[in-house]
Amino acid sequence: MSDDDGKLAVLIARYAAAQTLQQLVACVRDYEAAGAPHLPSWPNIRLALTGNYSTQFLARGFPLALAARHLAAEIYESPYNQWRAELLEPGSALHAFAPTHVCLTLTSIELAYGSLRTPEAVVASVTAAVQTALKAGDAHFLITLPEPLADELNDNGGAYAWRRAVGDGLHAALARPRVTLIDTAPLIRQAGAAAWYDDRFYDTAKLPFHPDRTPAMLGLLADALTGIVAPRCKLVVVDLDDTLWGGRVGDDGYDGIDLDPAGKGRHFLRMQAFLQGLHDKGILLAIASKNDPGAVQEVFAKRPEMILRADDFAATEIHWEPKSSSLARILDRLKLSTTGVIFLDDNPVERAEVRRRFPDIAVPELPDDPAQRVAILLGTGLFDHRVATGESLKRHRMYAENEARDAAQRDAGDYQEFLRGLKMTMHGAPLEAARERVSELIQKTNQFNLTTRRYNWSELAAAARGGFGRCYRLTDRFGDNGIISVVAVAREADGDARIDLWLMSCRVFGREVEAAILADIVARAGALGARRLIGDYIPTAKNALVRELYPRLGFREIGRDGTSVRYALPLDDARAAAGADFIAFSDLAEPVGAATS
Amino acid sequence: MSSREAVLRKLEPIFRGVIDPDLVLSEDLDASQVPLWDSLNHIILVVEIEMKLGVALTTDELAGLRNVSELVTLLQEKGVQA
Repeated sequence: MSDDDGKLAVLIARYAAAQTLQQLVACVRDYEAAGAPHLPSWPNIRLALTGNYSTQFLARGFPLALAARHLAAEIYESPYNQWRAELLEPGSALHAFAPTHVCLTLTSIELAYGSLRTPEAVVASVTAAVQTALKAGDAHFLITLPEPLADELNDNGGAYAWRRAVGDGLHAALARPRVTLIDTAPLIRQAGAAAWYDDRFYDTAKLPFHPDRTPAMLGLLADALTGIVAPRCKLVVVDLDDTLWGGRVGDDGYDGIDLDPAGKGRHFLRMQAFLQGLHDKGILLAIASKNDPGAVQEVFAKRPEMILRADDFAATEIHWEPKSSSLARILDRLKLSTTGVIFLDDNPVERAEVRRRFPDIAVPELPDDPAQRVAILLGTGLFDHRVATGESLKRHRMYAENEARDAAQRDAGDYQEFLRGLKMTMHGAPLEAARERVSELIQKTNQFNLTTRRYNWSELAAAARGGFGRCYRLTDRFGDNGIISVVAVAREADGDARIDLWLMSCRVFGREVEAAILADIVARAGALGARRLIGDYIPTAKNALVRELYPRLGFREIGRDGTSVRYALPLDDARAAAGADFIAFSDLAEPVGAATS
Repeated sequence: MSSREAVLRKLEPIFRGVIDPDLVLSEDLDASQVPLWDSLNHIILVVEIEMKLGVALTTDELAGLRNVSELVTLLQEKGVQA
């Protein structure tokens, strides 16, 4: 990155952080002083801004607001409240500017109390002006629907009826190509009426909102323009467990996941409805999930509450490999570049892993609380896509094919680097240290569970008699994963140590955590004087994930019957004890109860 | 330092942020002498003064304040102190 690019990046960051008019104007000034730089690869637009209130701040902010969205814009601003003349007269300065885009922004205050007043007059006047201007050139029109008047808060419904009549009329009259209507009401709701409306500034400066709301209004318009010029979102790749439904289907079963419309499941259904809406607009959906494909299939087949159907997804990656590999394959299969790709996952570690390999892919922070997620996603502006899509998708495909997908070819050594960067620490503790969580894991864990023995507490104590029982908590730079694994090792009469129970939360699978736990087991078994470590695998419908675990960790098969396979690991084998060097180990004697989650 | 002087010193950084980082604020200054104190920057000034000094101005005050001396008097009336 050159120095100039660096300066531009700083200006864009300052713009993105601007909350007040003063902050906005300050970075706009610096942007202007730097010569309003943009990159040659950005699309150029010629934007004419016209309306019936003071648009100077918006006009001045647009070049930087659009630069922040990777568009290069030249701006023309009509004189105050000249929108009708500017649009209707073929020789107007607006038409002479030859805009590619026209932003027509009208405040209800002037419409409702000025010369037009009635909804019929407003609709007729706006429609006539826009229709005439559409014929005069080939610009695309972005029109803000008249905003709710502050009177809507306290009158008897008249102001609301007025706005509905205007909005419905404009929608009906202007549903045509090259016209995009946007509603400012959601933005005002978000800001709050008290922060939005301020008559003093309308009376003295013809600003229909508080000056400090300028950055928000500018953002709304710039997002919408970006959606028209270069739709941002073409593919959304989603996780499944705790993203599309509550719980983990591998452990809870297809009938155990939460999709209850009367409870917390509603928020997962909202997420599905949101994605369905994107799908309906032509945005591609894909799945990247660390999961058991059979269990996922069952959800789609047997849970009628599911809003999304299996065939809504253009690509599906369900296995235990890193999510970045899944994304690389999805992009390859769909012949897409990373532009306009969004990845949704509730797990911060997965998000970080994807960001690291694909810095261009948008990875919004999903809050832990599913209730907040859709609102947060809408607030990111990533999903603005207000254009009919058949054509835009085709265009995306075409340029995507011309772009190199070197990311897909990056070597796998990267993943090790990523794991190293996680700064994982394993905290071993006696089972009693987290009794409740240990019991819960024993009852619930299905996938990473070698023997699936649903012990109660005394059975567990019996299983570890003469040997040891341990639970393991994992922390990483993203925080505390809580107790993620439980082990019970018995001392056999012949001197062997036998892993009677070993289970692990699949949330941390794929991070070489299992090798670190084995290293601890080996050390403890060795301390007991055992010469061999025995491990049994008892297959169930849900634990195919660990079928190859023992061989992968260096065990050798020593026997099998109809219900289980037995493996052994000689304890003098140095390889056995080698856990991953990037997972630190700390033994806790004291309780870790607070860390259970 | 008189109390008018104290209010002036509180206003100065606000004016500098909005209008000119090198501006020296004095009581005899009015908008006609400062080219950048135009109607747009005036709006920003008003918003910043309200926010940073914790005062609320009326519509008339907001439109009328075009010289520093009146502004200082008004802010004193509204309880802005050193």
